[in-house]
Amino acid sequence: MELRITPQIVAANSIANAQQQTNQLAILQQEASTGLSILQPSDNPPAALEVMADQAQNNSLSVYQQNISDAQAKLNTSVSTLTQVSNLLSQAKDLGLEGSNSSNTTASDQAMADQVGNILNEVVQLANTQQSGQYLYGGTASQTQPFTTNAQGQVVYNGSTQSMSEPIGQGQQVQTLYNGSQIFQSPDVFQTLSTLSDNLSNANNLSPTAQVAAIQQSLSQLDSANTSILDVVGQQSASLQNLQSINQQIQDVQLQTTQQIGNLQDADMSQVVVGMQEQQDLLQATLYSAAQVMNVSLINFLK
Amino acid sequence: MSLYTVGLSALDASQDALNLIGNNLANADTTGYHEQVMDLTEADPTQIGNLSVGSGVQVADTRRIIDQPLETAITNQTFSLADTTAQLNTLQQVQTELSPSSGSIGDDIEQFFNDVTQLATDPSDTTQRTVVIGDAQNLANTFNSLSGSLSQVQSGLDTQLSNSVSDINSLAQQIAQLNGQIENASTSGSTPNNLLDQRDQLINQLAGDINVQVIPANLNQVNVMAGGTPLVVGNQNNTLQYSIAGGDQGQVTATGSSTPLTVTGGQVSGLLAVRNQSLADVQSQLNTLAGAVAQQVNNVQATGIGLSGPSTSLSGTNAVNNVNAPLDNAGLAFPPQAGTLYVSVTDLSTGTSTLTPVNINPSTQSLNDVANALSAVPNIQATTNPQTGIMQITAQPGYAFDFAGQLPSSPNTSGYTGTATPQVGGQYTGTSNGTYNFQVVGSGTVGVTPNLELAVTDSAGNSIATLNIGQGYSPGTPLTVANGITVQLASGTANNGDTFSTPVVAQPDSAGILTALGLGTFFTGSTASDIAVQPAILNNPNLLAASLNGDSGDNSNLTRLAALQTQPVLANGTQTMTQNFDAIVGNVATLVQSLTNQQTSQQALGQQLQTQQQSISGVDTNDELINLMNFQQQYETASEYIGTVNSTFQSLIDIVEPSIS
Repeated sequence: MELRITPQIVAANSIANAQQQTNQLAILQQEASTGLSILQPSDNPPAALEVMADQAQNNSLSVYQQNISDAQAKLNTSVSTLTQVSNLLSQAKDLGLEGSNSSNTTASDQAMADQVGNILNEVVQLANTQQSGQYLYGGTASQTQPFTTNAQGQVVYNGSTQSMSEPIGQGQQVQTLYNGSQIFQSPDVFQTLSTLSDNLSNANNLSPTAQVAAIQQSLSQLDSANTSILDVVGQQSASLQNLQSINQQIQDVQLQTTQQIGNLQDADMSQVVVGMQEQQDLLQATLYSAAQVMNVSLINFLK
Repeated sequence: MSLYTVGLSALDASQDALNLIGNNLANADTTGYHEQVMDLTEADPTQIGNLSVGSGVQVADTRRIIDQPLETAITNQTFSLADTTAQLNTLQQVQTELSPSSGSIGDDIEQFFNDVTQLATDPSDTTQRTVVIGDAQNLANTFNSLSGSLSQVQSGLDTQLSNSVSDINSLAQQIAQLNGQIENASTSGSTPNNLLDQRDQLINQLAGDINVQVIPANLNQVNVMAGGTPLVVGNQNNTLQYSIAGGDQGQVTATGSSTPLTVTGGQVSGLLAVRNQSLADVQSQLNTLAGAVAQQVNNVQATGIGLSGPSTSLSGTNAVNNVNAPLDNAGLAFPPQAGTLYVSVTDLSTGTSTLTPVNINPSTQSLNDVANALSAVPNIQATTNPQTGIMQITAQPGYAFDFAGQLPSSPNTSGYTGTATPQVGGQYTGTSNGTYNFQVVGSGTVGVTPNLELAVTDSAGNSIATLNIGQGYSPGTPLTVANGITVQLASGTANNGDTFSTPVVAQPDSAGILTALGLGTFFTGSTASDIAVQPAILNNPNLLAASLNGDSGDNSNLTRLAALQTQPVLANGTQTMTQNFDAIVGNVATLVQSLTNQQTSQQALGQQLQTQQQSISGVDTNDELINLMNFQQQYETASEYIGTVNSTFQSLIDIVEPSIS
């Protein structure tokens, strides 16, 4: 049977269609003005959840980046500090070599001994280096000055034997605050410098031969101390290199994730604009045709 | 005179028809109106001799044009759509509450852990500590306010349900009344079309509230079943009521019955489904998540050390309901399990510490029993308050305690006779609690005697390491044992068979007793509505336990805390906290999406059914106008006929007239 169409049906259908089209138009308009295709999770639950997870990942990666730059600052300061220490030790060694040359006068021996004493002070100062309020060589005791001179004039370690590592990735850590006693006291740099200074000024009144022998022993200890410091410099340089590559990886992942987020939630503008045009045309057609059809009635012809 | 009667019947019929057309036109846009048509039949013929002479026309009936199966389909569609719409409206609201454009619970959890990770670069940074605690407070507030909003949504649903049920009762009463009026009218033989339309309209309104089934009865009456229960029978109606049953389940019952109705459609069905299921699910999932956040963070916080070092006094924040009842039955939100609590006590003057295990068995031990066990640890005292159900631990003056499970300052040397003092150090990285036993093999002088060794075994007696402490060993140098533990011996002698031992602790509180009692925890509360940051920590950010060894720069406990971010602690160990939250949002979003699709297709179906109904029962003004002309002409024709009959009789009278006059 043919459907019997009454003016009421035409009216109801026109209203329903116009409403639907206006709705669609409003959605497209919102997409156009926000630039997003997912305005609520229910618009596309799987994509919305992925966007949430991706954004969370990017945020935690940003934190790791901050931690990496903090670690880089500490390690860079440490490498340059330890390089300075190493240079000072080389200077001390040169002085020692000069002192072991028996042609020196007592006055110049004393001057060299003083110089070594100054180097000792500088090294102690460097071993107490801080980076943003934390001592670099006190291990986890970052707020305690690690090296102090006691009543007997000996340099003692007040830090922790535990080193501190910072999180720089999920399950990844880098050591930043080192156990200073391991760097400076195996063998003991301070003791060695102090002994060298004593031997240069011959504080123990040794025979010239014994003095030279004692100085040479100090020099060999100095060498091994320097080696252990340079070992740490090597470790820290390797850490720095590693940090740089991790940072690069993080940047790559973040870029990729950001693109992925864009793909998932950004509205395709050209599609939105074309869609809006299309809906507008449809709505106009609906309203126009309704006006035309609803104008037709027998009443027009009965007069 | 039957000629006049014939003419009159035609006039009457046309008049009635014109009246009907007028009524149809007047109601063309009335909701629920069905086009009415008139059935005309021949009047009974008069018998004159052998002839049967027609006596005109008569109106047999006026009836509505109605397609009953279609009307039933519309009723069904109405309650399905109302069901979907009710669910959708509420769940959209829930979705918006769960996923605001910024600052959702998921965001807050991430922010907290991210700032913890950042604090790990400098645990002594008080500003960053304050930031972390602020994050936690934000998270707790978001939980609280979301829980509050959802409770409001729930009570809003209760109000709506009560209103819907009153609406149903009022509609049922009106339908019953109409049934009565219809019965009266029908008994007298006419069809009360307007009453039928009114009743159908009320039934459709009823279908918006609840699933109905309409059963036709005698004399144009109908009986109405709602939710499987007779609601209207003839001119009698039943009443329904809304109540909240055990287990916080909303239900609709008929008066005088305790059996809930089987509501499968209409707004009531949608509201009940959301209230008892979708919303209740979201609420309980959020409570589980809040509980997990509190419990996990508390476990880590309680077993670490803050910036101010070990505690001298700690008061619990979770109460038992009876200090003498086994902890299993003491009403604790995070019940403890059988396990061991390791207590470190530090002598503040010397800095030396001891480590003592305390066994906890919640099936036999009451709070008082646990307090007694703790008080047996030297230099601390645990007391309970029977009124408040709270436990307090206090250290003797000059001592402090913590539960970080660090190695004691010196190993247990009761089986050691040598003079070379042993020392065990390092940070244990193993995964299970136990004891490392060290036994000297050979006798002699440490660092001198050849083949002098130290054999190390674990609690199970398995060999872990054999270390040279004789010739070639430099006394006082740490030797690596395993799992981060080192051992060193000073100069002196060691004798064959000498032993010393130290506990090694991976889980300082495997019983979870600290979290259970709220001792040194981070959060108070255990659900979305009551989770909060401990006031003590809010007042003093230094209490945030970043450290395990007590050093200001130690971030070991923060590392444990940050690790929670990626640990699957929920949904039987398959989801992290944020994944769990995302899943809650995802469930609601998927539900909203599928309900939206359902609503769209139900609306389309509704539009289609309405079109069909209009097509069959609607008033077409053009049709009516044509009928109008038709009956106008018929009326004119009948008038003409009466006039003709009249003039015909007039001629006869004219013939008779003169003789009379």
